[in-house]
Amino acid sequence: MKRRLFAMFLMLTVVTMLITACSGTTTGTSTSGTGGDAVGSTGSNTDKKAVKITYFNTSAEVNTMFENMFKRYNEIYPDVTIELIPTGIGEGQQEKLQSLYASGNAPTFMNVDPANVIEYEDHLLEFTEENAPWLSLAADGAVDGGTFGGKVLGAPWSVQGYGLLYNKRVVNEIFGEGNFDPKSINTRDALQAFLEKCEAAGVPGTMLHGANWSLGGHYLTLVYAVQGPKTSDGTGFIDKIKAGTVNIEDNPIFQGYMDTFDLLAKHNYNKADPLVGDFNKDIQAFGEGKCATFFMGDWAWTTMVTLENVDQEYGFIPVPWSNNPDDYGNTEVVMVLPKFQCINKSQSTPEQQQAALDALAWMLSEPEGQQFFIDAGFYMPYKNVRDDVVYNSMTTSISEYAQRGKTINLGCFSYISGDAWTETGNLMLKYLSGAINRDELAQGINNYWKSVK
Amino acid sequence: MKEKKNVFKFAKYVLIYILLILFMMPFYLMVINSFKTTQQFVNNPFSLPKLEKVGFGNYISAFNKMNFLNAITNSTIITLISVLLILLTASMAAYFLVRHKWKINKIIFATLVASMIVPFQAIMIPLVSIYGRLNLMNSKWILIFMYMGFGQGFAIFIFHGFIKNIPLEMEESALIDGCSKIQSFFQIVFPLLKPVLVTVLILDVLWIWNDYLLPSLVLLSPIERTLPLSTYSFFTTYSVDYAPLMAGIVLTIIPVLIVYLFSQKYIIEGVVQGAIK
Amino acid sequence: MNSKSKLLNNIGNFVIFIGPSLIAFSCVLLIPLIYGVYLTFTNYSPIKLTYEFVGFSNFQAVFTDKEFWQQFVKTLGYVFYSTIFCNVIAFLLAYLLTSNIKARGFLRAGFFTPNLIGGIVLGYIWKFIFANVFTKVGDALGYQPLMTSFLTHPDRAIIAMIIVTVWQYAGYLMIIYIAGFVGIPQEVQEASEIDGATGFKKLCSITIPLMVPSFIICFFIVISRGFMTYDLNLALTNGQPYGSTRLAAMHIYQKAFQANEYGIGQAEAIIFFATVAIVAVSQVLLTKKFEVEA
Repeated sequence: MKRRLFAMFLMLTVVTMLITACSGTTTGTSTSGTGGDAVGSTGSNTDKKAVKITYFNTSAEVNTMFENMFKRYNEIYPDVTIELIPTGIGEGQQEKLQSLYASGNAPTFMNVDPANVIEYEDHLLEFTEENAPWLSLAADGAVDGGTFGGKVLGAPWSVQGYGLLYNKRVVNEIFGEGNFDPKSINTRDALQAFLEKCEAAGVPGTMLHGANWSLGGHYLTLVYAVQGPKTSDGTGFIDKIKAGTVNIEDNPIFQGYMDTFDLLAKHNYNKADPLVGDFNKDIQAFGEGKCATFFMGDWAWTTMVTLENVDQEYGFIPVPWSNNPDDYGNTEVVMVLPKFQCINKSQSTPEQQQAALDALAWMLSEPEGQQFFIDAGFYMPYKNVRDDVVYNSMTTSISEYAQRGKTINLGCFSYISGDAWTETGNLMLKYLSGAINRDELAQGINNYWKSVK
Repeated sequence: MKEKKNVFKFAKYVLIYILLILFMMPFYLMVINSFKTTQQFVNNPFSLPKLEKVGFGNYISAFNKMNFLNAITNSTIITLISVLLILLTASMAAYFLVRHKWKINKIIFATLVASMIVPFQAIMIPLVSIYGRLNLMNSKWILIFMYMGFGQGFAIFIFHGFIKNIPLEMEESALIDGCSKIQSFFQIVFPLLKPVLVTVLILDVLWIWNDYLLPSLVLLSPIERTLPLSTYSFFTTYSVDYAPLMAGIVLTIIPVLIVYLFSQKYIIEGVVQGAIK
Repeated sequence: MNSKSKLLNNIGNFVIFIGPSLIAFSCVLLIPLIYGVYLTFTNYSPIKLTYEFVGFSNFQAVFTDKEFWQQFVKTLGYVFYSTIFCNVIAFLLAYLLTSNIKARGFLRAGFFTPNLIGGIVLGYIWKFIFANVFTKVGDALGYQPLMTSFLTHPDRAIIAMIIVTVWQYAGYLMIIYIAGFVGIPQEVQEASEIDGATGFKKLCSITIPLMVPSFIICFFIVISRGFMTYDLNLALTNGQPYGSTRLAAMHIYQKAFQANEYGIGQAEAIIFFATVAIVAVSQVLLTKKFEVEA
């Protein structure tokens, strides 16, 4: 009988302990670096300076690149181990990252969307001239996208661009070698003539990827960005919709882009079943020359290189929204800093933060680190990047636009969250499939923004 | 009359084999496509693989990318211990709940049954924040404990239904013979539970073996990764690298398939035995 | 034995038999759930440093979230059809596979195999099948409805989810039904045959009433899992086309993590849980009425 009583007592103790422990946690986040215990817990490691830091990557397509990079870093600096935390499958990334923060196991540093930088603002370490002198090497304006409230919270690492990709081989076959000048597409009428000529040659003129991130995150975002060359032009426009002082349907740029959208939809390779949105399949069809153009960005390259028997030469043409070649947006393609590197300060020790700063310095500003990004086909916005790099044709095309100063500033993208892509992107998909008309689309977009705080 | 019976029998076979083909088609596609490149797969999922071209290439790359040996060890330890703990504790609890119709037991049983419907999203953040603050994350053992907790509802529910139908007499005579409750449970009731134990075993093995979300929240370091967590490398933000994924899934399924085929015999045997008694 | 020692004995047995279960269950499920309910009264967010008490405002927000209720209704439909088709097919399979048929073991294994794959991976495989395999078959046959993917039309996408659900769960439920069939005492069956009951008549008047416990379990399984479907939803349709197939669990998830309205998402989860619990428990109580002692 005594043993049973003892067992009961034990159980009571455990339960009480758990309950008190739980209620203790409700008083808010402790800032006493819980991640610190990771140090030395790796077992046989006797070196006291050994630091283990973790990295969260939302660019899942280049997980392997980061893994190789961290492996190499560990070879050079054996006392620093960087662990890549696997990203959630599909769209589970935000859920995973939030659960890491909730459990006090936030990654020491991470690669995230600009919208995340604002969301996690309170947790992030500010980059200063003292702790990150290498940021002065960043290209002009590149740091701005990661700067919020005057604080540099995100370090840029890649520049990407999007617009209408065209397959050079296919277009040359239709127009004759050397007869096509991408600069000639500077009005909607010119685009229409181009698409019709492709169609007449038996090749669908374009392809729209039926996914909400492409149509909502990329296409519709053009409407905000083209409001003006400054970031505040785009965000100001969104603020007016939120306040109800502007309705998006009254905006000529919106109407212009939607007219162009109708044109693209008419010549869409996926017209029979526009919402399939299978990325592999679309890239493959485009690479095999089944359509002349594709509304996509240079990140398509990372998938393209995995395919056999596809074309290698591509270029960008703008997405004109009016018939005036002088309008902003008609001769430009989008250039964007899609991701930023951030360091967590709320759940890591100073040693870990320093280790992350050192690792970032190596990754972003030293030749050996940069080489990993270059090999993976990324165009890095840093002044000291080797100038003899031969980029893939897509990235090269974007950089030519950049050199001519013909890029659309997508700064307002930093303030558009993933939820906006999903919700307004879904409306765009509905419109594409014919389930709603343009008025209903505009109403839906207005309502979405009004519902956001 | 006999002719009619034969026609009926024939129709039965046709029906069952058509259904079987429908049920097995995805597996067939999975296996043949695990020997192709993703591109060949997308072009024509029905074509037979040209073995000389890809061969076991996908399997080799899946094996390496998934760090297969490490992952399968983790998966095996976690699944095996969790399931054994669930079977033991849940059968005992169910037995006690059936045999003692106290008010508190009824409340406990109702709570357990209701718990099966709690959407995981409702407890996910509280769960990780409690265990994270107590610094109890990133360990197989905590994960096993969690599975033990999450597995109770379903297992007790199934055991409860089964034990209800076991006649009381044998236990009563054992108790009169001076057996303790524990002894009579393990010597008399537990052996009778064999068919339902095997059923719960299989269902729980499958659940834990294939679970993705919970281990992804609890296990943080690569060394602790289970098989489903290891397939993450085939998924990218916008697309899925199907070919090695197929190979990876085939590799993941084989162990459970063996367990299933092995224990299937016991399910049927056990069920029949249970019926005779 | 006096009553005091009997009470102690009972408590002792209670601790030994139920203790481990109860501790694990409470620590993993009950306490987090209670904590979760508490959080619905705050503006807690996993990424904010502080939070405060906000009363019932999260619940008020749920009642004005029109989409949540729309998806809720859609989820009810999905669960209803899944439950019917899963159980009909599973029962049919179990019936056929307990009758006199060759290669029973092989067939049983074959129908059960879909359960060997986890939800997310399964969703991706079927997504491929709907988008690439069905359409190829449609092109080959020249059959218009199959030429476009099932996943690009709102109603057909829900049907696609039901198809995959049935494909996955039918084999699972079949096992439980087989156990039920085999569990019918031989004497009862023989007695009924002597009385002249054969075939369909026997099935209706003898077999089905005796299998009520199996029905309770099987219905409960599909209902409870159907309401919580998330993995499959995420991988197969991801809410597409245009958000029309976001079932309740996915809507909650997007509210909490994409829209960063954690408190509202959590409140929706609690309301959802309460409703499902009522549905499932009343189903159990309702079917229990038909139970006969074998």
